[in-house]
Amino acid sequence: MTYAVECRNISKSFGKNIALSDINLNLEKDKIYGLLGRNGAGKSTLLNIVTAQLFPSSGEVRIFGEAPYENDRALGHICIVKESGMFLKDVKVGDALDIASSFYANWDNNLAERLLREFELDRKKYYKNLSLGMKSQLGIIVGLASRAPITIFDEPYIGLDAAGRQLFYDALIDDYMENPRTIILSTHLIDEVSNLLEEVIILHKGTVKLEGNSEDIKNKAFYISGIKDRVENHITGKKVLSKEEFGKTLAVAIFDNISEKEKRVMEADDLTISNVPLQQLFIYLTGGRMIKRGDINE
Amino acid sequence: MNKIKSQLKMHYINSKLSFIIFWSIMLSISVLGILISIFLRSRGYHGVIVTNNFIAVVVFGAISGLVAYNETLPYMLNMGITRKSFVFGFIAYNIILSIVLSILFALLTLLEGLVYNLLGFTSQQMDHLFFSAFSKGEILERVLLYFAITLVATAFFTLVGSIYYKKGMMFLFGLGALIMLLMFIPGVPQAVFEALKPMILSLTGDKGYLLLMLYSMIFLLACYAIIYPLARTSQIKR
Amino acid sequence: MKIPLDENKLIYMQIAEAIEDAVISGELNEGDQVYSTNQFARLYGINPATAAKGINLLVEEGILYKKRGIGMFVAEGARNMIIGKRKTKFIEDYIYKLIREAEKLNISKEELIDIIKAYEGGNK
Repeated sequence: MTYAVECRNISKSFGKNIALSDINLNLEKDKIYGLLGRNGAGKSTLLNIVTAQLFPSSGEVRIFGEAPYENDRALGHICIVKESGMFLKDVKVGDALDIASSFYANWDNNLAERLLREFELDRKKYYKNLSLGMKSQLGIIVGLASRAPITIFDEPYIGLDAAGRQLFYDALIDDYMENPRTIILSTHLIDEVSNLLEEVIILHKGTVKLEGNSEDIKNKAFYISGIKDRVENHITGKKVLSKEEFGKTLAVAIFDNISEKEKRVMEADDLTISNVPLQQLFIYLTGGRMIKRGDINE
Repeated sequence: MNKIKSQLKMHYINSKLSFIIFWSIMLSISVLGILISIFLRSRGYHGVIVTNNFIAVVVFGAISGLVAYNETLPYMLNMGITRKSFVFGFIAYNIILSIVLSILFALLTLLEGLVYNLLGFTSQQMDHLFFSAFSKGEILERVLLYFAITLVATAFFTLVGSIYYKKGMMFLFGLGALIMLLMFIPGVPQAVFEALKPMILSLTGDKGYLLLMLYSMIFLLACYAIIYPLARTSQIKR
Repeated sequence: MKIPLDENKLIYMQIAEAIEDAVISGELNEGDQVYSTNQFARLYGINPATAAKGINLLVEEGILYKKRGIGMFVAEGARNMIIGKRKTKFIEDYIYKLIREAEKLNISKEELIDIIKAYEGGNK
């Protein structure tokens, strides 16, 4: 099958700093991917490489099978929305959209106009005079109205409040349902978007820590708590992400398979089992725990 | 071809604000110059006219090129334009900008000449005006001269801008220092001058303006021949 | 407004359960059309593929069936199927635990049956 985006052994260093290390990814078309990572994980670097704005130190990218560098056709499939570098300063909102419309073959002006109204942006305002949130909204409008077969949103909502972000998510899902395309959403606001993602890629310190279907991943991440000995009995051999003790109770987070049968046995032992939400799993996998007293004694 | 048109539209929209500001200033300078000339004349200083200067246009063109390259390259890369297409689009922008600037400046000086004439200044006094308003044949030649100079200046400073974009300030200074040093080596400046002499002399001849166009175009192409590989290896900056 | 979801459970399972609950309660009758994946996506604020996963689960179990070009419908006998499914789960979850706990306390099965019969709590 032809993937929408392929990354083959992508590495990138800036001097001595290794930003990306041997990234291999295959993104299928028409799915919503979440590219999750902490600040500095390498998300933007990877996305800039995918869009040929940055050159990898080694490795190759394929967009629908073609290398994107200096390739009109391949690049024509992509629209990337970024925090900065998306617009010229001395240009009015209306003109900025006008310019964008001439660069994206699938541009839908009705959608752009509708979003402009929903976001209440003034088309006569100069870009440099917009607030941070409004600049983000403009970027989002371009990203959605472009209807590009591969649309990338790289943390597109700086300065946007929760209501504004919700508007974005709603508009995104709505338009995706009517016009399916490959969407890559790069973010660290995971709990807000986790329900929207079909596939998840967790990037940490330049490597892919985890990738796969979001529900499948969730089905491998469990909280188990109960009496300490009983818990420990049941988790031998399983990959443990975190442990916390309160008196005789032990609460663990594991990343492993648990069959229905195992679940029943555990529950019969009075253990509580629930799925770990993506946000929390992410924190465990990227080492974002707070140091607690118990850790020091371990 | 589509993308070149889209880029030109982008350059047009991007230039609008600075264009309006620049020409407003130029107009004000012309008006101010006229007022000062009138004042001086009334004080008995005949033979003095304060006019606008073409250098301003050259500087504007040069800076526009340099700044536009640095601003629009990352913007266009983000929009999915190939670097090759960008350079071609920029050449078109360079040429069109020079045409527009030269025509506008010619019109401005024509206007100045008209006003001075109406105010009773003599044509002797107006000799200071780089161009007198009345010989139509000369107007075209002068526009061509403006065009050539603006074209060359813009292309050169775009080149400077492209070196700055790719290599940064330090490298640019280093390069500039190197060139200056070369000029201090005995014999080098003279050699350069000797090499350029035939070219400069040919301009004073019959086909002067035609050759001027030719040389400017060659210079333009030479600049962009260097800009092209620089752009092709340029990336988005952090 | 979006219907809230439990973040500690799989989303597509919650969608499937919600449909099953609607069938049991009578909100959805056999032969009725079920919301499309897009409608579920909008209702819950989720990815339509996830909604599809939940629906497909029920299709595989025979609780829903697909009419090409029209949508998903509740199958004949779905209600009984669901009740049967839940009974099985009830047995696997509660009965298993009940018997295991009783074993730990040395209560025989016969004793257990008597206790249940005599028990005063509950709705009936």
